Amino acid sequence: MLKKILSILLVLTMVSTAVFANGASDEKPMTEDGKVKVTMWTISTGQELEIMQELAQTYNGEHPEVSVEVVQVVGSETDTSKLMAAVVGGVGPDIYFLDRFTVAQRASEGVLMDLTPLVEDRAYLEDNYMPAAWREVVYEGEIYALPFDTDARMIYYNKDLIREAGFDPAEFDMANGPMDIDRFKEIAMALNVTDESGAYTQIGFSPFVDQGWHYTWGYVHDADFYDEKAHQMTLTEDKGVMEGFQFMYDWAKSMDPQKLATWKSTYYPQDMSPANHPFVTKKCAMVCSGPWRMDTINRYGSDIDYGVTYLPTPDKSVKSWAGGWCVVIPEGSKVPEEAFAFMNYFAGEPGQTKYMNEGNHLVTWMPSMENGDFSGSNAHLAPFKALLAEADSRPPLAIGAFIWDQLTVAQDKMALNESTPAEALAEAQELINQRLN
Amino acid sequence: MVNGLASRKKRAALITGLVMISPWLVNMLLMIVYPTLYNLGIGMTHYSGMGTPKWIGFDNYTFMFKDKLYGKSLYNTIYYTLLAVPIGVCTAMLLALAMNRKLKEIALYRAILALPSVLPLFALALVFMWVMNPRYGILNIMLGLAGIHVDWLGDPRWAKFSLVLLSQLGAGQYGLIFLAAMRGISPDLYDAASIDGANGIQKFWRITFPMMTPIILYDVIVGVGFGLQVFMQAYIMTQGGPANATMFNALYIYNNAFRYGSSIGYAAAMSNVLFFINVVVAVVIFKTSKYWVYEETNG
Repeated sequence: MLKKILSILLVLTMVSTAVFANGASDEKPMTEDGKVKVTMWTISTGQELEIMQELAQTYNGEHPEVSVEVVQVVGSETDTSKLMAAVVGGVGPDIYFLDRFTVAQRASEGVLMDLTPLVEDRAYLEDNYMPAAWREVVYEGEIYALPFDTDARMIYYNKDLIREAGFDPAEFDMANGPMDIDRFKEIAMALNVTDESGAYTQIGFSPFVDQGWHYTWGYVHDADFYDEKAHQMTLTEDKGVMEGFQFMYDWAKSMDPQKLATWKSTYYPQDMSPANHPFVTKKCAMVCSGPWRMDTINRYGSDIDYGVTYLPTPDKSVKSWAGGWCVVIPEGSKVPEEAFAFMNYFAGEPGQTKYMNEGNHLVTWMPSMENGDFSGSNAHLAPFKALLAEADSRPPLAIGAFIWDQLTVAQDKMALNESTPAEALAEAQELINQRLN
Repeated sequence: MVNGLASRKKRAALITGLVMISPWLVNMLLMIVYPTLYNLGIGMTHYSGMGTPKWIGFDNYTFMFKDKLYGKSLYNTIYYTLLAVPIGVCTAMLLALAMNRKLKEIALYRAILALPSVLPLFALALVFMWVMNPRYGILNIMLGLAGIHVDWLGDPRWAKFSLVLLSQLGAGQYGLIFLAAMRGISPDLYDAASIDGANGIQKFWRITFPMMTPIILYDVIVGVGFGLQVFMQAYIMTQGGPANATMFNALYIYNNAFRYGSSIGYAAAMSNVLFFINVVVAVVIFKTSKYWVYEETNG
């Protein structure tokens, strides 16, 4: 009896060892037909995902010894829990599509492989990638990613709603340069519509919607946010940050903070489908967003007569900020050479040109941008492209996601007029300093 | 000789017993005991999830005292638990009373009342976001008839309570358990009470409620455990906002483990404290249960 039991336990142990050992093997993963298998994870969906998968297919056709597979996974810009768990478990992907501003954080955590030894010609890459994007992928002098796309923030405005309120949409024309921020507010307030209970049914603009982020209004007010030499966030000392937060505070106050918050909960709730975006449903006449919003409007709001213009600024100077994504190799990949070869294709000229032309995205590979055709279906990208030279980028810090969250909480407090800008920023600064120290 | 035989038989019985429970035993050792001990160790380190954890002693625990966000998350969690659990007991009791009515179509009503509790929480959360929409949500449409308008998820004063309301959709499960307990109460007790002239309310407070206190104790213990670990609703519906109003402890632990850099050690330490709080609360509830839980004694 005991022997039988021991035999069963032994077999079970052997089976489980074989199963678990599979994940820890150092052998290159191969497909059934003998090709080296490279797996890339992305949280992209829809058209972006399709383009990525097409790129992999084309690459596979040109490289019969390799099989690249692009797999869609769950996650968000700052939430890479699936990646972390998989990497620690030894079953991570070979390539991951990562929000570029978190590269420093993930590199400092040790999640990302240092790509420097794989790079043959560093100067070539440095010369051809957009400088701001390249800065974000270098951490402590080493290369941890290849930049992919980029973006910028502008104002979309609904010409019909502006006309109905008695203003001339031509005033928003980019040829006039950025609109004065006070004039912008004056027009926006005139576009607010309430029902009999006083609740907003339409608003001119909310600085808390879509890309109306803390960084947006800080950069609009000439903020730096970060002292590169001291490696410190400068929320309380930076005049521009304070002015940006004051701007948000005053805007909410002008519209009654709770009523504005209720409008947002109603028309811009969490996990809202793109078809219900308040600009598409004409619940707001203007919105701050990136080039990708054009696709949403064209798809779900084809009847909207709209334009795109600069962010309004106090001194009428051109301001914006750029973000974007990149590709990295997580630690534990058994095929880093093959993965890096595909990354060079994906984030190099072939991949970026296709992504720009077919995906309506700005990219970071400068030759693709310079040779790009910004007429026809890509004409709308031209103003965003023109902004890139002026655009700021978020500080690449090892606690980027934490900083983002604390700035968001401080912004929430502006939206609700819960505390003054000085109080909210002091609290955020204290929490960030605690972490940095 | 006889003793030796008995001893061998006992040993064989013990081995058979252990083999029989081995799936549970292995699962508990691998999935509960080992992670708990591992977590206790990781809580004493600075660890990003990669490489070797760096031993830092009790630094993670002392940092908790300085971390205002931790304090806020703990406050939010206790607030939620203190509301969700008692309201949950009342809701489950009401559902059980409703499901215990002698009606022809009671089976259908039972199914309807219990249905939300078998749906996945994330699905309920998504539906609830529409139910709570300030303008188009059915809840505000009904409240609007009385002139009440609430921004459930956008107003920090109401956001936590909104999630407490959502948790009540899971009360059907406990309602069914309550119903089973209710139906286990001897009809003789009610007959005797009727002869003594007791009305419905008196029967409830003097018979039904005391007889159900063991089940209520179970509900409270389990409810407190779930309450202290509240996570998914906030993760899906509010992401901890507005202004950290729904930043619960489990969500803050998750953020530290997976979103903020190099904080898995800190997240583990917070989990250990949450575990400790959970154990202490459960022990206190058990210890004090003798004052309010009815126990049937033989003889």
